Amino acid sequence: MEKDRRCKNGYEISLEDLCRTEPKWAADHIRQLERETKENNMYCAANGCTNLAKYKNMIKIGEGNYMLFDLCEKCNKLNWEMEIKQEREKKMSEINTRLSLEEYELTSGAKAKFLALDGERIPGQTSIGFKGPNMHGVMSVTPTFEVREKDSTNNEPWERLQKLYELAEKKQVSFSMIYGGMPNKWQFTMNMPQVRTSCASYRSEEELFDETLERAEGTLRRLR
Amino acid sequence: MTNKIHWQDLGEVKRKADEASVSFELTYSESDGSFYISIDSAADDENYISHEGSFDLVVEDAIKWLDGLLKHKEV
Repeated sequence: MEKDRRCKNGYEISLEDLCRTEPKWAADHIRQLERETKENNMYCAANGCTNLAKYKNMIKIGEGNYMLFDLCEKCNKLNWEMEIKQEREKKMSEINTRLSLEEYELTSGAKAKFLALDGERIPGQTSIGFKGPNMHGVMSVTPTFEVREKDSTNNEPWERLQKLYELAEKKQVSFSMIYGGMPNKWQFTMNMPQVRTSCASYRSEEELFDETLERAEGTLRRLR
Repeated sequence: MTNKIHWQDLGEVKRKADEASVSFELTYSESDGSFYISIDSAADDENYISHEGSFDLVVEDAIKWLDGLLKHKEV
């Protein structure tokens, strides 16, 4: 496929070409386009938007075909959120039948409902609640882990992350690592198969890095 | 085939994020196997989102951006 055929608002490309077979070319090419955008003061291509373009972003224009558009920061973010939402909704429809709310007895004797995968409570899950609007209106199963750094010379945390990444890749699960908060701290979030109305969070502030990652790995392994 | 990720480079991003008093998020997208990093800096109301790409490239972008932010703060 022709790689950089210039269109009105950008370049017609294929997602496969751009992101999989030629990731380095794609990254370099996008950076060049970013420079052009800045140098030429190009305007946002979104309808009705008069802001200066700040980013190039891929917008789906057909099956497997994407086009790069000049977008301002706001429209770029909206487009990104829309893509994420569409992807999540697709996965939700595939997995929703396997997820359910099941009642379990706590050690205190009280009963509470927890999210279950294939009828079994997801390990480590300690709460069910609603996720905020930053999840683009789609509620997710979101195990959250605090990654505690042992020391700067110890490679073990990074080796564990590599294994987790390999597992996530194998199971086709997205994940995020957040370094933030007050004060900043690591959090690890897996965007697991989604449910529409609830989320489950692992709160593991007192747990060690290994234990939290083991939970993440265990949860991932349970996914088919 | 799984890529070997240089996770230690995240430590450099963390150190610079601490210095610049910003937070960041690294995301791995399974849909196309790429990473991206977003950095939030409340100080100058800037929200930078890198383009998706390999881990090394997005980390490089993040470090460059943080260097720029730190330089800006020094001025």
